[in-house]
Amino acid sequence: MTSSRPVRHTFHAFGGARCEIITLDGDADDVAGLVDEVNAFERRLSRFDPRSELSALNTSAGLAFIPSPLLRALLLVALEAYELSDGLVNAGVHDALVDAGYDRTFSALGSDERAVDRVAAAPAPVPPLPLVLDVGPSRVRLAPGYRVDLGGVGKGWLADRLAERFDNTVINLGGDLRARGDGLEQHGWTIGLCDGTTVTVRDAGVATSGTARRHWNDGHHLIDPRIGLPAQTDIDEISVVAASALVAEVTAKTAVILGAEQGERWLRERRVRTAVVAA
Amino acid sequence: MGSGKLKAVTAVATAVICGAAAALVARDPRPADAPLQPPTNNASSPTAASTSDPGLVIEPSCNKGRGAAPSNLTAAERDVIHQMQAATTAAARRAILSALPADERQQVTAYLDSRNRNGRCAGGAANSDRVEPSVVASSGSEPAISNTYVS
Repeated sequence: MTSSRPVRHTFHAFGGARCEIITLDGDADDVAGLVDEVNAFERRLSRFDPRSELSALNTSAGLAFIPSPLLRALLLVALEAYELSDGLVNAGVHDALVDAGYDRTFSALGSDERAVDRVAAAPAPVPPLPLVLDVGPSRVRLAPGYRVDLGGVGKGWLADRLAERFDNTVINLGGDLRARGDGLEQHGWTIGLCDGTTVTVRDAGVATSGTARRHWNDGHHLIDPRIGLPAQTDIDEISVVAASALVAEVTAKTAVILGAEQGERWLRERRVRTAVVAA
Repeated sequence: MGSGKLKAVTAVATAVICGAAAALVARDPRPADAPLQPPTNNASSPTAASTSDPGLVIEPSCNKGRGAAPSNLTAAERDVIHQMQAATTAAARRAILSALPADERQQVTAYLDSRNRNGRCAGGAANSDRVEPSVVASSGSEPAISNTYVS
């Protein structure tokens, strides 16, 4: 299944996000199969679809819940992201997102005025995720009254997993990107960052986070769990290069929530190779 | 009955009851992670397994097992997992997975990923993902093959 010419395919998923798959060691059927998996992932884990497995967990009202391996894996990833981000990437922000007006896919949200009204609802800090989510070997339990949103970690995790299917590929899921291999010209994959510069990598995750998109009126989708409201931040966009798309995604979100001064210090303490801030 | 005899009878009765209870617990076929309370309400979710105490205190997951229970997988998925573990190349793994529908490919991938992670308390994703990325050149100006962006 090795092709000398790259197979390149773009499509939309995750509520309208542009996605791209490029591979030099797969064929069109392989790529079509990955697109099917992206769609299957979204069907299971979308918080917007009441028929999804995630929605079933979110309405389980504290009952022990038998998850699919996929849901369980992502819940574990959410717990790990919570730790990696010092608690700032918290999948428990679901209700704060809804209160902020992000209660449907972003492509359906538009600039609905009621988003502003709902931000005015009384905010509350989001509890630590490990206190409301218990993930056992075969069952999980979400404390009554809590719901989770896996949007903050899902695309990065999936980009990493799909990239592992190839030796020379780029998997770009709405900007959360994993590159592996020598690229088209044998010197790696050149990836564009949010400030217009590029980075060339052989095996890395790259992600950008910020408030420049998925925002509405005074609100945006990056919730600061310390206050339960969209983060008050002076970072518009930040691109991070890390060992995986998941870590890049989590790290970038954390930096945005912290803001420029604290975020820069936090990033310096991590082993993040490259970060670009566009004020 | 004198107090001495009463104490002796009580002790014997206690020993019998405790022994019987221990034998019942030892024969309990439920998995170790089964809920303490038996299922009483399955209406709210097709996969809900038991009722919970509204005041339930949920402990962190640190001490729990990491691998998903194989019982959560179908027989076909388990078979593919064995094949995947024996495969040595990305192409071989792709070929194996191609026999499954997209959703089952995701389940197998997720199961293997959970198994491969070291555990949150030992560093978790952070351990494997803290490896330095392989960066050839930073801040270059050549045309990008793909772009990261806020989605």
